[in-house]
Formats: sequence, structure tokens, C-alpha cells
Amino acid sequence: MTTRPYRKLQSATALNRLMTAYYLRSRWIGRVRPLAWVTSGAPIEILEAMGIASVYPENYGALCGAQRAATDLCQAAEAEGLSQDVCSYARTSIGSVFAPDRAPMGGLPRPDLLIASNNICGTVVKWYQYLARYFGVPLFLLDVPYVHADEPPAHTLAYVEAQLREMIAWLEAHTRRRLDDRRLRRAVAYSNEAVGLWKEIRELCKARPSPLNAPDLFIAMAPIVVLRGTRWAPWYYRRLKCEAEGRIARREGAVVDERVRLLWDNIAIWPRLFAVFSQFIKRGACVVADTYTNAWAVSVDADDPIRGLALAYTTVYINQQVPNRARVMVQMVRDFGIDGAVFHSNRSCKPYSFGQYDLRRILEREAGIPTLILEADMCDTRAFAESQLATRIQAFMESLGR
Amino acid sequence: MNTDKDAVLARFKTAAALPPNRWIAEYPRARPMAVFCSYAPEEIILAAGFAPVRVRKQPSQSGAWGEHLQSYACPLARSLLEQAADDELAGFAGAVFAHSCDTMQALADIWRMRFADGFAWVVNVPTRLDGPHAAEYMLRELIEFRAALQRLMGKPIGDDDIRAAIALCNRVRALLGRLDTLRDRMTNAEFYAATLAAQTMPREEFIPLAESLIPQVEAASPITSRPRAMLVGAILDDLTVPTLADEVGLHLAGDDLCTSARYMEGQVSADAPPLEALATRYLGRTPCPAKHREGWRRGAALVALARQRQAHGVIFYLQKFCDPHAFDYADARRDLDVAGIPHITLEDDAGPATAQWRTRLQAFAEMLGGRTP
Repeated sequence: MTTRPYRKLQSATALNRLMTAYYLRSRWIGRVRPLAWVTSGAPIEILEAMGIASVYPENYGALCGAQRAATDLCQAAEAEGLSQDVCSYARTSIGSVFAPDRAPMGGLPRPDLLIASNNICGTVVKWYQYLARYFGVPLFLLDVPYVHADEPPAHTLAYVEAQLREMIAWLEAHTRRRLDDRRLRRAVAYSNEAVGLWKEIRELCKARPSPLNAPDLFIAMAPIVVLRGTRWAPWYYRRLKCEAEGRIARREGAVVDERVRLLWDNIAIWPRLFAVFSQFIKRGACVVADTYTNAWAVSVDADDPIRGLALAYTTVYINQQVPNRARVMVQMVRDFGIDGAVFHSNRSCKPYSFGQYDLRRILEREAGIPTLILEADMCDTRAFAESQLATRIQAFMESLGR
Repeated sequence: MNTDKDAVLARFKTAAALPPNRWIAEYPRARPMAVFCSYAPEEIILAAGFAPVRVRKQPSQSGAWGEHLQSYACPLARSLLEQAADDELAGFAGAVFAHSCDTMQALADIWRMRFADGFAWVVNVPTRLDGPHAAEYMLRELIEFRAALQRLMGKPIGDDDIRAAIALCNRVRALLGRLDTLRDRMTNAEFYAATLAAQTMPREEFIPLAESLIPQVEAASPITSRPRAMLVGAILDDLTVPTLADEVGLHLAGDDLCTSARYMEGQVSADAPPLEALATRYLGRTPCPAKHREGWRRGAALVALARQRQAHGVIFYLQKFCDPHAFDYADARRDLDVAGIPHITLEDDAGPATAQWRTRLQAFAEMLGGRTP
């Protein structure tokens, strides 16, 4: 009898229930509350504190990718004139607007407002401009300048903070809802609790064997993105943390026979998530750390929430210069006992992918580990061949002696 | 100096085609500083004593960009990196980036790691061009940039130095603006040679040449028989497209290019404090597609411009993998369709696709030939 090489998480049931409830709620919540479409780096705590409901087209894009519905929706967007070269989350989202009959859950409910923050990419600016024109709804852009330095300059933080205050006034004017300071502090507290748990869960992966593998975290990250600032994110992460701690106590790894520990860079290849990672699992490799889920591990100064939000949302991982990212990755290699790094060169995400060739050299030089570049896409299956990924992974694992 | 029209235009065409590695031999008395974007505040560069040179795409030679960038980076970023890696910018004082898109943002990081010994500065131009805080932020960025150049030069850059540079650039913009009104008395290649020369030559050399050219162009008769089109996109790297348009009998009656209309548009106020005046002009001009201004819609602006210029059609000249323009194209084409303005797209990847573009422009010219705006 063969042993299953991978352990499933029991808390996945709680996660499924939570996310199903979230998407069901999003179907009707817009009838009783203003509904905003927001980017993953938007300061959701403020919306939460104002009673403004939110949905995340990026998360929806990932969901469509995982359900293998994204490529068809990308083609629907391309039929409207969008280039195949632009972000596949954007094309999936826009395609779902034009072809809701082909979209999971019929697409997202129509927004009343759009909130975009360019701390994750410039694409969201264009994507949300496009949506604003299509729906004829107002758009607020929180302009978060990229950090081309070791630390964000003071005038950058002042600019972001001033815009957060402007955003609150803008939301109040458009929704006739007031920002309640008590509710903001509560949302920040929930957000910090979730971020704290998320950090601890990721830290648990330093254990040998690691209790979690990167695909576990890619799936488990949904609440930290879409339910940050609510009690439901900590509710779920307490369960996940408990389960991970139990595995450590029992010396059970996510990968049953963990022999190699890897680092992953960039967004997941959603349509082939387990197909790609099974190539590592069957060779005893666990991806114990990644830069993507690390992006939501920044807490907010609860004593001065607006200033704290400005700092937190300016210093998200991919809003920082490549040398800063290199420092984070080198530290991860040391902290997590990494044997090799896998870079997903993601055609859809230029700000995340450009710089990877330099990052791999830095890792090889400063951390002394081998690296692999996988050319693929987070959603669009036309952009890569699975068999080529498998071949490259096989060769890489052989170079690691596996 | 020969200021005959043909001699001036020949000098402009030479400048327009001048690769960076021949710049110092051509203009030995000036010290060049590379810029890559029309948001790079060239007035401050001039005030520091440098000649800002808009470095553009060149045909790929070595492929050295592949060491740092994936193949889905835009050809401009690939080429700029390759030119620097191949030492084509030897003798340049450094490079100035202005924040625009994700690719140029990454290029700035890669550049500053690869060429760590050289001067490279990023003016982090805000993405939001309006709102109550953008101007203050832009002003701070300009102050930081001035300080960086002062450190590089080891001497202060005074407000009067910047005012003098503003006057110089205002003169260049005014002369280009005058030539823009005289397009129908020039070939497309002649007009665009002047615009590219203005961003390549030392400005002090460009101004007298343009001043001598204008009355000679004014004296020429307009050519009215050509179908009129607009040219829309990011950067015109060279004169291939204007020359092809000339060959097929198309008149480029206006444009929305960052090496032409968006470069020459607007004057910097001489009354306000100089850095504040610069911030106002850079934030106030027609937005690059990588920027955001509430309510701004490129498609509507193009329809209005096409009508103002009595253009029969629009030519989109797009760089492969340029996301901001790709998004705007998807939106603008719908506005043009609704307005009944025909359009075509020329996509530029590794360099001019001359034969294919000629065929497409020829067909477009024939289609427009029977139309009235």
C-alpha cells in the first residue's frame, strides 16, 4: 500500500465554509450597504469601519484561475480589445463583466464605488479606470509611491497619510456614512490580530518537517486578503495555527517525507497549483516559505491608525525596491533553512517578476543556494506548457540531489 | 552657421538619428545626462549644467538586456538596459528616471544595482496628477532631485539657474508649438525630426536653428491634398513611421506622443517660485497613460483632438508589452468607433516592421482618401 505523500489540512473545511459564506454574502450585501471593489493593497480597515462592503477582483481572479475558468474570461476581455499581454487578473475580471454567463458565480456584484491602490502595481490604476468608465461609478486612487530606498521617505508617508484622510472624506461624501473612530480601532485590532496569527503561522514553517507547504498558504491566505479587519480572519487563523502546532508536536510534515526545503517567489500558478507543487512533493520537497503570502504580514500601529495604515500600506513587499526584497529573501533562506529557491516568472505581473534575474544571482551569491526560474502565468494557461514546467522542475530537483 | 531650411532640417535629422554613443563627438562642448521620460524635469538638469538627452530605443545588438529582464519587458526597457550595458552611454553624467509604469520602475531598480557607481536618480512623479496633495508631493520630489544634483556637482543650484533653464525650455516648447501649427507645410519626417532634435541636441543649439527654420517654413505653401491622420502612442524612437506616412501620402496632422505633443505642451510660469511652477506644469499637462487624473478619458480627448485637427483617422503606434497604452487603447478605440473615426494599430517590438507597416499605412491612406473629417 502506498502512503499519500501529502497531508491535507482539517481546517480546510472551516476555510471553505468561511469563503463560501463570504461570496454568498457578497451577492446580497450590496442591497443594504454600499459595495466597493477594492485592490488587495487597499486600506480595507477604513471601509470596514465605515460599514462599506467590499469585494476583491484579484481574489476573484485567483478563484477563476484555480477553477480553470480564467483563460476563457481572458479571451472575453481580449474580444473587447484588451491585449493578451496585460495582467490576467485584469483580463479575467473585465472578461467576467462582459461575459457573466461564463464566469464563476456569474461574476462579482455590480460596485457602487471603486478603491484602488497602486502599492501592488500600476496595472490596477488602468484596470480600475477601465471599470470606472464601464460602470460609471466613482474611483478613488490611493497613490502610494514606490519605495526606491531602504526606507520610505518622510514626504512619501506624509503624502499617503494625507490621501487616507482625503479618502475618508471622499467615502463620507459618496456614501453618507461617517467614519467611527471606535470602529476603526476595532477593525485595526482585528487586522493586527489576523496579521499576527498569519505571521506566527508562517513562522511555524521553520520547524522540520514544516507543518505547511506553500500551496496550503496560497489557499489559506484568502481571509487575510478579503476579511482583514473583521473577526472572521482571526477566527479562521486560530484554527489553522492550532492545527499547524499539532503537526509540529507530532512531528508531522505537510510533505510526508520532507527532505528538501524550498522558497517560492511570486504569485501562484493558480490553474495548475497542485499539479506544479506535486512535482516537488513527490521528490520530497516542501516549499516552506514564500514572498507572496509574506505580503500580508505587515501590522498597523494601533495608537495612530491613520499614520499606521500609511506606513503599513506603503511598505508592502512589492512596493519596495529590489534590494529590499533581496534582503527579505536572504533572511528567509537563513531563517527557514532553505535549500533552493523557485522563481515564478509571471507574465502577468511585471512589477513582481522584473528584477528576479538579479534576485536569483543575489540568492546564489549571498545565500549559496541554487535557483530555478519557471516561466508561467498566474491565470492564463495559454502562456505556458505544463510539461515544460515539469521538465524544468525535474532537472532542478536532480541538481539538488533528488 | 548655415541656416538654410534644408541645412537646418539635415541637422535635425542627424540629431534625431544620433545614437547615444556618438553624442559626445557631435556635441563636444556639452555634458549629457540621459533621460527616458517626458516627466523627467529637464529644467533642473539644465540648471545643473547638463544637457538632457532623451535616450530612445535602438536596434538590439548584443542582447545584453537578457541578463536582467524577461522577454515580456517592453522593447524600450530592454533597449535602454542594453545600451547602458554595452557602454553606449559612456561619457554621460548619469541617468534620470521619472516614475511612470511598472516596467520603468523595475528598470530603475535594476539599473541602480547594475551601474551602482554611476549617478542614477528616480524622480518619483506621483501617479495621481490631481487632488489636494499631489502638487506638494511633487514639489518635495523636485527639491530632493535638486539636492541630488547639487551633491553630484558639489555646488548649489540656485533659483535663478532654474529660472534661466525654464526660460530656455519654454522657448523650445514655444518653437515646437509654432512648428506644430505649420505641419501642413512640412513633411511628416521633417516635423518629427525637429521634435526629436529638440530632445537630443543641446537646447542652446536647437533654439537658433528652429528660429531660423520657422520663417522659411511659414513662407512655404501648405500641402492640402493629403488625407489627415493622428499619430497616438508613447515614444517615437525614430523617423520610420513619419517617413512611411510621407511615402504613402498621409499627413500626420496631430499626435498624442510623449516625444511630441505631451513634451511640447504648456509653458512653465515665470511668476511663481520655480520648483512650484515646474510641479504645476508637469502635473497639468496631458497625462501619460500611466498616470491618473479624475475624469480624464483618453478616448474622448483623442476624438476632440482629431476633430480639432480635422483628422480623418487615427494611427495607434504601440510598443509591445506596454500595459498603460494597451489599456487605454481598449477604451479609446470604442470612443473612436462611436465617433466614426477609423483607426489602425502598428505594434513595435524589436524594431521597425517597415514592410508590414508600409502595407498597412498604404491601405489606411487609401481608405481615408475618400473621407472628409
